[in-house]
Amino acid sequence: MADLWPALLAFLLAYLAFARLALAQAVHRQAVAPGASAGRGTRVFSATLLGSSLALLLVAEGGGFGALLWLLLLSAAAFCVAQTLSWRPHWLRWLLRTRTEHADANELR
Amino acid sequence: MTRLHSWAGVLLGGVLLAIFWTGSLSLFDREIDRWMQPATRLPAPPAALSLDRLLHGQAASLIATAPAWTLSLPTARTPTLQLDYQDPVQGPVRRHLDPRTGALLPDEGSWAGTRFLFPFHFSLHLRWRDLGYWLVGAAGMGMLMLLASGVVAHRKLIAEFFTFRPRKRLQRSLLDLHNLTGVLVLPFHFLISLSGLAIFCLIYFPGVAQSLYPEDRAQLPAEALGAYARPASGVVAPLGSLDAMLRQAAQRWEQDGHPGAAYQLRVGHPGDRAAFVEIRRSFDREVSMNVDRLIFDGVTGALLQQHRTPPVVGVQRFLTGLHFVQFEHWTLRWLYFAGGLGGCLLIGSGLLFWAGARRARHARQGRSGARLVEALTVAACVGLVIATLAFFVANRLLPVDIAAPPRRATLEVQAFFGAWLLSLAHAAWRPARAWGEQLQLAAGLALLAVLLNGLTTGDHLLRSLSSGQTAIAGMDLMLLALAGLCLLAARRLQRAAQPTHKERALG
Repeated sequence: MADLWPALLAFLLAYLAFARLALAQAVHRQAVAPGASAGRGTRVFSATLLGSSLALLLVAEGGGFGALLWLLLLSAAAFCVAQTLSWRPHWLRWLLRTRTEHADANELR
Repeated sequence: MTRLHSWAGVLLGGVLLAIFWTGSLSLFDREIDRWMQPATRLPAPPAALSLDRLLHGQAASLIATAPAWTLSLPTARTPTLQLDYQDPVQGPVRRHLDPRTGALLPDEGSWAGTRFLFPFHFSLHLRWRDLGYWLVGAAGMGMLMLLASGVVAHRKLIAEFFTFRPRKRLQRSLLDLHNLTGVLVLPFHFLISLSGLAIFCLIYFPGVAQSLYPEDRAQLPAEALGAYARPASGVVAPLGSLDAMLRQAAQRWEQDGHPGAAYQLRVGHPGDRAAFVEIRRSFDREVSMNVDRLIFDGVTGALLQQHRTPPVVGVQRFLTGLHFVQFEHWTLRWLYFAGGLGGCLLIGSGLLFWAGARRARHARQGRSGARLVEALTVAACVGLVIATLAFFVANRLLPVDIAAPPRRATLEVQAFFGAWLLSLAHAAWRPARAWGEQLQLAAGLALLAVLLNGLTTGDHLLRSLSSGQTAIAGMDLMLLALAGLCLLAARRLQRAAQPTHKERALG
């Protein structure tokens, strides 16, 4: 179990990075929380998270395994973000700052 | 580019799907072996073992007449001593020994994962003139081309980077799924196709060996892989201590700064004065599959030759290693499995979309070709799953025949190809219902396989889970998951066939 942690953490970092990137797109923002505004600094935020997930894996798993794991976890994380957006978009609402209370009431399932 | 993508996809899709499917299954080939060869379901092997003590009795008499034999040491995934040798009558034979007692386990006559599904992945079992290797190579090149042309043909790559609309029309959902898996898993699919091609570079470019070593082509394997051979002397002499050689090998690798255990021994001319033993260093803790080998004199145990992986070979062996996944890393193994199934999803959704886009038009025009392509698509997608499941079910139904193991293995393979042909025939006969009916059949076969495993071996899920037989439990759980997926897919396709009011209104 202990050796799962680096991969799990790296996956979470990549998931967050991709979720922020997806929410920079109006279509997805609309589905998650109508009326919410796009936060600032998405690129820097996502690039930092993706970079740190790579660094984490390289340190914890070594060059060969680390790089391979990162490559596959990126795909897995991005795929999971896409699935979250299509089945449970409201799970990502906390990543957005909603502008009005009204938007909350106008919740999309 | 779109035209190139769709036609190359239709022509190669079936072969590619077979390659990706068997490749994904090969990630768990040893686990499939345990499931299909119940006699080898042993507990974890002992940490240390003595080959000199274990190789006696029946096993020793089996290899007494073989001109060469190979012994693979037990691992976490293969809890047996695996013995491979050439039999004058049967051809290549593989037997398993209990690593505790040295007892010969019965040959259950199944090629299972490592000798059927895995070779199918790279050779399609078409041995004639290496035809299978060339077909797989062409498909691999085609895959690289399809990935590139797909990205170019994709109209909204960034805008639809995360887009999947499962509740829209089936065609829309299929195309979304195709784009999603194609774009998001692109790095893995690219790397796996490229590394797959690199493995057989010498088959695809036979001229290389010729031009590098014009006098003697055999020099290439000698210099690159440390291949060693010497003629037999004809003088009888007993084989020296294998344990001593293994100890010496471990010491030498330790001195070299590459500490590691041996994973395999190959013995040439056993029982002869000129016998030699090749000991190979394990690669379970690194991506690259090293070719570090030590050759010992089989009688005296003196070191004859030491081979270290040369740098250029190291590059090829790194690509090979990242394709073969022979390292011990369960997270990576499962991620590879997900990536491989992602490839199946990519190819399957592409084929399904192509057939769906033309179905109505071709029916209107009364073209017969469309029916054939549709049937081929069904057989390539669901038929392949059914064939695999028929292979598993046949394995659990056929009685073990100790007298003629190869005959039973052949029957299993015939069940595989027979089921595949039947699926094609059924799809051609009932094109409208083929998808749904075959998906339901696949779900039934998967459940039957789980049931038969419990009945014939007694290792049902409750027992395999509680006794820590992860390979068996994992295989059963995957079969159950497959059954569920097939039923879900059947329901989704059924729903698409009967449009809802809303969809009718939208046209």
